[in-house]
Amino acid sequence: MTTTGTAARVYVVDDDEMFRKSLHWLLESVGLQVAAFATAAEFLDAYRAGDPGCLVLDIRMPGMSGLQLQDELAARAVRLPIVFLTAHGDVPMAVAAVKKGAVDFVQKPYNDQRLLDVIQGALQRDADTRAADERHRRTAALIAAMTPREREVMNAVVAGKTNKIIADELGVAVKTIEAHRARMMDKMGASSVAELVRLVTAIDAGPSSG
Amino acid sequence: MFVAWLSNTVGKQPTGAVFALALALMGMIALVEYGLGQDLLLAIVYLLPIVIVTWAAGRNAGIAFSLLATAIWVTTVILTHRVYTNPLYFHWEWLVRLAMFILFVVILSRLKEALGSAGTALSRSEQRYRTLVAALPHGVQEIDLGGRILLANPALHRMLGYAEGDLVERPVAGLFGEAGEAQRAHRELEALRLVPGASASYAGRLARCDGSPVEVRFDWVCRRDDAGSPSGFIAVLTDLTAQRRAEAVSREQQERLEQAARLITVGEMASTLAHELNQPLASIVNFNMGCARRLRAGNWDPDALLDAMVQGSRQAERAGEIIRRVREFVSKREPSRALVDFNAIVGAAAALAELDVEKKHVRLALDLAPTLPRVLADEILIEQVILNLVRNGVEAMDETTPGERELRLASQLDVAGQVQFSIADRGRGIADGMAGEAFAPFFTTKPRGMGLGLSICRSILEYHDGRLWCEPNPAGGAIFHFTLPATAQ
Repeated sequence: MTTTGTAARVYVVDDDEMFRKSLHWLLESVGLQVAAFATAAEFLDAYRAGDPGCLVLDIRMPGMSGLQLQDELAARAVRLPIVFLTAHGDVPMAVAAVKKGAVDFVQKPYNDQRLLDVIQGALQRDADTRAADERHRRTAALIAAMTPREREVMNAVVAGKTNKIIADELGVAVKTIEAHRARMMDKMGASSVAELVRLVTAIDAGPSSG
Repeated sequence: MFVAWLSNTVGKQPTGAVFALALALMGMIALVEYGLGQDLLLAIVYLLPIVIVTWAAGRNAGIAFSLLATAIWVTTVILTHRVYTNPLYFHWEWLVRLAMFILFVVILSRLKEALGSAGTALSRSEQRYRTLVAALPHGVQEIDLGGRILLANPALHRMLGYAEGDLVERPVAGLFGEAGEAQRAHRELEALRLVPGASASYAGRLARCDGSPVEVRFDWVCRRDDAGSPSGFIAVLTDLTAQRRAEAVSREQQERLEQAARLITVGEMASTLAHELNQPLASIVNFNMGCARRLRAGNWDPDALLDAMVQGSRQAERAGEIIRRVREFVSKREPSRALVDFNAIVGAAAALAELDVEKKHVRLALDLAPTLPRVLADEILIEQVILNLVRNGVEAMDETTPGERELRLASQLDVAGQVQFSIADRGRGIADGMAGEAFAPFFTTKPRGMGLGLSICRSILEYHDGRLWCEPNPAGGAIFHFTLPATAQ
């Protein structure tokens, strides 16, 4: 378990007040920051998109249920990892939730260590996602800073073409391509073709899956 | 009086006889007038035959006899050689006589017409009243002050097993099989006699023709003459046998329903129990392990630890309470789902709830979408959910003005393609912040409620992959909604 972002919080949504209170007490004991809500709507009102953390959701709640909140967050493109809490009879529902991208589900009553591990895992995942996103953003910014010609050359290099072929295709001298290529590698901060390929394919794969 | 005599005597004779009589009378008058030689004024006497004829044969006959009477008079004047100082006086006199006769005829025929139409109206209203009394499904009887039956309608004869008309003229006392009943009726009627405008309603018993008893509701009123003194009594008697039977059936149905409710309660209890029991158990784990971790880390505040431990114990008590209450139910029934017509379930539940609803003067309005896809559901469980919601709605309107007590049941296909059911009441509504609480087990606003109904309903719907929630009714009251996934077809 690595450290999570300083502002990372565990968002708890559960309609049972005593349960919220007790979970708050437990999570605090391991130094986690907690924000607890009685309903999905309250949470949606309070949560600012982009805030790091994870969501601990009771699968059944009056009003918007845990599963519906999951859908709602997906619709809002909020990729907060979700840990579902379930009762014995809810397992099929929880499985469905996990298929839709929830991190995990924990059956009540649980071993506290298991819950904490799952929550820490979710926070880690959120942190990883955010770090990967950051890297992608940076790479994307580097690519955006290139000239169109440099970008053309980059794509050709990533496709495995030699300078000679690239020069033929673009109808310019090999020397010119070499100059573009050097500038491009410099801008990307890549010391080898292998590294360049890794950076560019990571972008093509889109933001790390959450 | 004269009119009465006319209608009685003249009105009933054949017209020919009346003409003969009138002609004879007129001949006699003419002879007298001729014999007395005009010294006596007999004009007024001619009116008698004219009136008779008019009454019996109408205005035209009356006018004819008026002309005849005038002619007879003129003839006697000529025959007796009466002399007028001026011949014009003679003409004046016969004209005045004729005019007077005709005037009488016209007035009399009008009078007869008026009397005739009044008579028709009277007999029509009498006819209407007789038809009504005869057609009434309730028994009606009128007795005089001595207790003799003056009138009894067919329903009363049927109710008591007598042949039509047999009851009339009998003493009413004979209809009360038991002495106590007769005394009771006597007491009630004595009281009625004293207070004008009063009526007496009570349930009692009458004896049928064969001696068997029949439960009846009596509604007595005292009949008074124009001066206001009592002249008799009228009773409307309602046979309570059918009503008593319906009440028994309703009780039986109620018991059966309660039994069914207990069965599903049990069937669904496992899921509810798991959830509801896990809630305090999870809280206990949280409180305890929160303490343990703080103690282990050596980072703790005694007051906070103490508080957490107390809270944890409370949760254990809560779990115990749930188990204690749940133990009252025994599991038998396994839910079984099939493809069913949702509106049919609503209809069945509404029919089951009808007795309840009517008793509380609640209007049940159904607003069902005509075409809904079938739902995969346990019919009986969903029916119980609806029934439960209907009962809640009815009970929530206890304090609502009876005229405004309305439960609106609606079904529709929602935007997500699910079948959505809504039930809107006009009751006291849901207090702020209670919308969530309402579904918690053992939450109740009813003095004798267990607080399990909505929680079980929610479990049932979740078992069906549906959802149950509530919101305030903009028109006042609450609306409960639930959804059931529709089948692809």
